[in-house]
Amino acid sequence: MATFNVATIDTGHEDMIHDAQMDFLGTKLATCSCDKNIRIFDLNVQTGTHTFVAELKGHEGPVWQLAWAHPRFDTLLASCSYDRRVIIWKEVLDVKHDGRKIPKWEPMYTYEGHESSVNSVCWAPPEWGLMLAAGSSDGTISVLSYVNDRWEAKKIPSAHTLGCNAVTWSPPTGPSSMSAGDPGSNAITTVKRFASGGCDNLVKIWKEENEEWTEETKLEGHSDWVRDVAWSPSAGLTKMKIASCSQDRRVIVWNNRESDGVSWTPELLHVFDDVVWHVSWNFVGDVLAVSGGDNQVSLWKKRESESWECISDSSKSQQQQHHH
Amino acid sequence: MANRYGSESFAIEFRDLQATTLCLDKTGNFALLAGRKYLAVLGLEETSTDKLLVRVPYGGKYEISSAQWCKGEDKQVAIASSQRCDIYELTDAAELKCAIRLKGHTRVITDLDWCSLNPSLLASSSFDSYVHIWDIRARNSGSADKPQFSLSALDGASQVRWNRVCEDILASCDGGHVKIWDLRKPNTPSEFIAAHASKINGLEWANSDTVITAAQDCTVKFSKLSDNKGTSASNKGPILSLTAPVWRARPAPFGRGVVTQCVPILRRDSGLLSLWDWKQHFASPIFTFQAYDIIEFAWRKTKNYDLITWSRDQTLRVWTLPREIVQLCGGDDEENPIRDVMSTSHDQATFIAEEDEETTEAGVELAMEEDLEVEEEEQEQEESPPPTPQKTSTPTSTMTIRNKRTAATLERGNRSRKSSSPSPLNRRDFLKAEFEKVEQEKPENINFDQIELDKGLIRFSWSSKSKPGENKVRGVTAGILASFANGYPAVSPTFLVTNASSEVDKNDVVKSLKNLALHYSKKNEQCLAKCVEQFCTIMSSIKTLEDIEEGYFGNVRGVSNVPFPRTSENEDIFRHRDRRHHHNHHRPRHDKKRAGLVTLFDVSPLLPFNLKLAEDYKHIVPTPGHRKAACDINLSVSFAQKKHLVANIWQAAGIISTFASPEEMQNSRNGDDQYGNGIVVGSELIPAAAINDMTFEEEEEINWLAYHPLGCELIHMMITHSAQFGDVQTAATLAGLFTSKEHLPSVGSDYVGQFKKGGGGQGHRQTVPRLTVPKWWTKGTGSPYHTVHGSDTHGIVGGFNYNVNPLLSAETFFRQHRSNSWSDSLDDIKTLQLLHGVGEGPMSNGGTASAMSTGGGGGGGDGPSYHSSSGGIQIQGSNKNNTPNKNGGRGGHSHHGGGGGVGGGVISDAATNGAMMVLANNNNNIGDAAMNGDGSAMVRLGGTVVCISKQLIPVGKGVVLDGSLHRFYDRYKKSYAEILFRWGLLQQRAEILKNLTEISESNTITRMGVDFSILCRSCGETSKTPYCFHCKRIVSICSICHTPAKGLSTFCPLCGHGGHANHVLSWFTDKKVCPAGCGCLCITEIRCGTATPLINKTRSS
Repeated sequence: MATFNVATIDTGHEDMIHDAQMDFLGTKLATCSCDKNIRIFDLNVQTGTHTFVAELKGHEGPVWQLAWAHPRFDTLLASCSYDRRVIIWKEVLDVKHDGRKIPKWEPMYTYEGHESSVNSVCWAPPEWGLMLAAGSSDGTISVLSYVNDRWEAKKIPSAHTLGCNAVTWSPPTGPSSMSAGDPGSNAITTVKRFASGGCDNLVKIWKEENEEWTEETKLEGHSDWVRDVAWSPSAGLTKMKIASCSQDRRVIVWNNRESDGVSWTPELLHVFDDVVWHVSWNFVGDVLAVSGGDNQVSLWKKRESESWECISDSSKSQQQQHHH
Repeated sequence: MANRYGSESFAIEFRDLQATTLCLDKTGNFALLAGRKYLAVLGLEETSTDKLLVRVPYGGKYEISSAQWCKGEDKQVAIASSQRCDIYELTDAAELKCAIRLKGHTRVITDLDWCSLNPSLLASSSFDSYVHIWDIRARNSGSADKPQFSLSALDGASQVRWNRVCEDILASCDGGHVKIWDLRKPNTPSEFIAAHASKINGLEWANSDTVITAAQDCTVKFSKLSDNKGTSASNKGPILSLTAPVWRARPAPFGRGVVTQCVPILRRDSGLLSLWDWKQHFASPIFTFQAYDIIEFAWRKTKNYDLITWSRDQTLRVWTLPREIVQLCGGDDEENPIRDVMSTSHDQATFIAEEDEETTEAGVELAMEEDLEVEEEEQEQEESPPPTPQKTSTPTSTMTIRNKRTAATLERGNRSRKSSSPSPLNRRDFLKAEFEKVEQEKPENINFDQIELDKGLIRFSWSSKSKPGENKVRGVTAGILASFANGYPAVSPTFLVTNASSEVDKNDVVKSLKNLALHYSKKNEQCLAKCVEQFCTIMSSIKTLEDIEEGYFGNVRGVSNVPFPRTSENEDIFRHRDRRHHHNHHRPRHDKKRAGLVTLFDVSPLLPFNLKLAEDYKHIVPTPGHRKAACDINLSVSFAQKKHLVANIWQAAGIISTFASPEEMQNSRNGDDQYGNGIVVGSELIPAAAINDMTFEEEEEINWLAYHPLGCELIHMMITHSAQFGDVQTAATLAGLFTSKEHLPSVGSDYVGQFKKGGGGQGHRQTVPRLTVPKWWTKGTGSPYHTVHGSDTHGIVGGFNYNVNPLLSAETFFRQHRSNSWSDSLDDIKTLQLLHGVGEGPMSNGGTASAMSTGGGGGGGDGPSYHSSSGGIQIQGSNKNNTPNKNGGRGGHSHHGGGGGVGGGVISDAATNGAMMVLANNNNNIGDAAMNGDGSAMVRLGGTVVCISKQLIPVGKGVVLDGSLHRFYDRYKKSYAEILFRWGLLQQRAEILKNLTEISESNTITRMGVDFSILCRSCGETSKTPYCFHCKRIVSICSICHTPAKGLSTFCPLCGHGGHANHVLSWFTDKKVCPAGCGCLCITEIRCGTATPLINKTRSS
């Protein structure tokens, strides 16, 4: 498969890197590490060059995950850390005397509402405004939103007993079907949803109702900690999908055929040889990338035959064994 | 004999090992002999004294500079060679394996030291001027090669030693200086001791606050930290002067003993070991070991104290020290309580092998030569022979010193030992009674680890219990060593915190216990129970704070529900993200050598669409009549990109677009020719009511097209098919081309409302004579055709319509009276163009004239494009007279034309052919087209007209795509627009968004008086800044990039849309229509003088 290495960046982190995220436009890269720091790079993908921009110091523990906000909200970066905090960083332009603008990063907001390590942050779709979900080892999930010039937090207590490991937002859902006869089906639903995975081996789907977050569905399928969940972008697709990966070495794709957000059918993508740490969709939602303890990254695509097939180089020989 | 010379009790030779260093493990049962060729472990237990347990080839290129066993339970040994340090593990199966490799130094490592209190900490010093502190536990996961701390010694540090009482303190030396470091403040040394004028060879801690330095100036100094002020402190302590440079001076594991080793000086006996009592007298050594050429020595404790030596002759010797010698040095008594504390503070061990093996190879070399040579190059290092004592060495002057020992001192030593031995009856009784009581009621978290009531020592520890459901113990632990002095309970005990996990503030604990104890001792009351209780209270309060401690690293793994590591053994994180250019994922790649690498992969080839297509596609058509041309362009673009499947879709779409048009034309003709033309020509001018009336009649007949399998059904299927396979690009572009807002039911837009509010603006428009048609775009969805069924907009439309200027009337007149002949129509337009003197027709949008402007664009298509368009031409020609000849004019395509339009490569498609044949009947006026000069423009004109006539038929579903699905298609458009945004194709994005059936949420600027103000869409208030103070949002949104328009921005004074000046400029370089999709001909309006461009310099809020 024609994927090629664009660039290798020596980030200069002094310890293990936990996350690396590109911003919406692909011109910035943020990395975070056990060394408690976040580093920002400017990228030029065509030339493969990069420039170090800034090091964000503020966390007092390993930084687990990063998330860029949609550019319509300016350049915002959210980070979560073992130090129990979520920090939202903002890029501000410092205008010098000679008119040069120097980008500077400042913590815009620090959320300290968790009692244990915050393991995951995810921005809501921009349609919902500036909104962020954060899952923590204390078992709670916070939904932060920027309303009336300040940050408000809503907390879901005991979302996952023993801890929440990952959160992912649903894109705004479109018409649930193409049936023209149903006038309601055309309305873009404004239900806000996100999914979370935790140490209780569950994937849960949360829905905002009457300004409160309630558990809508509970997806049972994994037999060990769920390490990551990823809601597929809706781009053009009518079906919603959620991919989840777990320490039980399995990756499950949950299909919502009715697009009602309620009835989900699991589909085993593959059983890997080792723990699976992360899953991630491409922005069309047709290729799923999976990384795991075997140090492999594999890409999976659904073929017309309705089976998932590994299309990446490293494990091309691995064919999907699960058929429907 | 006054002199005590010892001879070895045991010797064993390993001739082939060529070992250059020796070290003992904590228990003294294993000795590592390491050299460049081999690593060997000897079992020194009495049962296996001569056993060479394991020998592995080392094969190192460089000499081993230092080796040391871990002081904890693990059978790990650190071996430094050149720039790297390897941690070997001795397995139960007696295998020696390299477990971890630490590569952080850039020059030769000079020394290693394990922390005795925290067995996972290792310090290494190097000529690269750094002292690195490594946490081996942290490295077990194969994590980065980064030390936990790096202490910058400025000069290359030659020795490093941990304090044995406090794990945060260590000492290093470089040159003649000793630096004391406190890891809590690792940036600068906490103390600086200029101990010697010449180089320090050996550095050791005598006790918690005294360092022993052995230097090239033939002295051994004992510098006390606490009274060290500046540089003068080195004189405070005792100084032992020898006759040769001193290589090592190490405290013995008992009493006040210090063993010195002199630097071998040529031809002189050296390397002799002498034992001194450093607190008593330096006149003569207490004991001298009769060994030559000793390279390295170490202590172990069995029944007695044994000194193990390794000498140049490859012989390991064991010297058992006579007990009285030990006593002479004050061993086995209480005189040195710190030593006791130190030795007992270890978990199981009753004795700590505190004697650290020393650098031999590199170190000795340093002693003899200049340091820098070592760091030069490895060759040099190899070449220079180990400068340890030569075999030929003879007895040296050190002999003279050690002759002075008398029996008297021996006696005195004995006496002193007796006198200082404890008489702890009182204390012991008190303690015993109290301890028994305490133990009965002890809290569950407390364990008594060590009870030595005779010595007045009690060690207890606290460990938090794991919570139910947790796999691992959460790691708050701390041990307290309470040392009760003789006077207890009148004298308060002292406390020492041991083995504390990092959450525990040791100072706090000690301070708290101390205060408590003091309180009771003043009253002469026992305090053990209270102290234990207090300790419990402190520890349980710490529990909740466990997560915050800076020493996170060790604890991270201990906290069971933090999903750490998020990485595998070899860390590997994967995230993939959307990239400019597609989506790339990047994974920080980890290999053991480099921690901070992130690799980017371009996985865009996996996407079903690509950036190039997006750049070249035609996303919008000014009129439906241009669909054909647009499809052809897209066809050729996708061909060029080798996207054949997509190309097929475009080919089909092109056919459909031509197919639909004549069909409708036919219908409209069948109905009422005059009517059809009337609409075409004067769509804006005909009172809406009249159109409504007429169109209703037509609806039934037209509608069938919507359901024709080759009509919108096929387009719809192609869209959904593309989308299903992720090709949003094709889906959205198709949907964009084939849905025109014009046909869609009116979508409530507050745009109208805005204009109504801006009364001034409206008045202005009505009074200014205009060249353009009335403001059709002020209506609901901005469509001129909207009037036909948008009842709520009639008023406005009507208002404008009555306000037409003469020129418009003329134009209308022309059109209304136009015959079927296209030359007329074209002439009309040409005339208008002349009149207006502007390049584009005044009706360049929506109306017929707009065909002119895009005609060029459409005709600009390359070969393939034109080729396929010829198919379309034929069909059009069937209605409208023109095409075949025109094709001929283009050359190479005439064969497609054929009078009847039967052939034609593109339309050879069976289904289309059938349709064609029928339609061909209408073909007339072929000659007209030929006479019309530029054929391509004609074609497009024809198409335009056809399509317009079709559009004017106000059926919701009768056009190409089912209007009821418009929101459905909008989703594709929106997600594609989002992708275009990622790619930075703002222009294309705006084109796509323009096609949305709902006007996007960008705010518009209304005009009030002479000032601009912004109407906030969410609250309806106006604001004069880009920021709405009412609802606290940024309201000035760029219509093109849809981000807040800050800085230089420009807005159309009429429709109020606009945004960043550069975006707007680039948009209008080749377009005339407002990017927001409102339909306003911003540029034309401005040119015609109805308004002047207004540049609004807003400040970012």
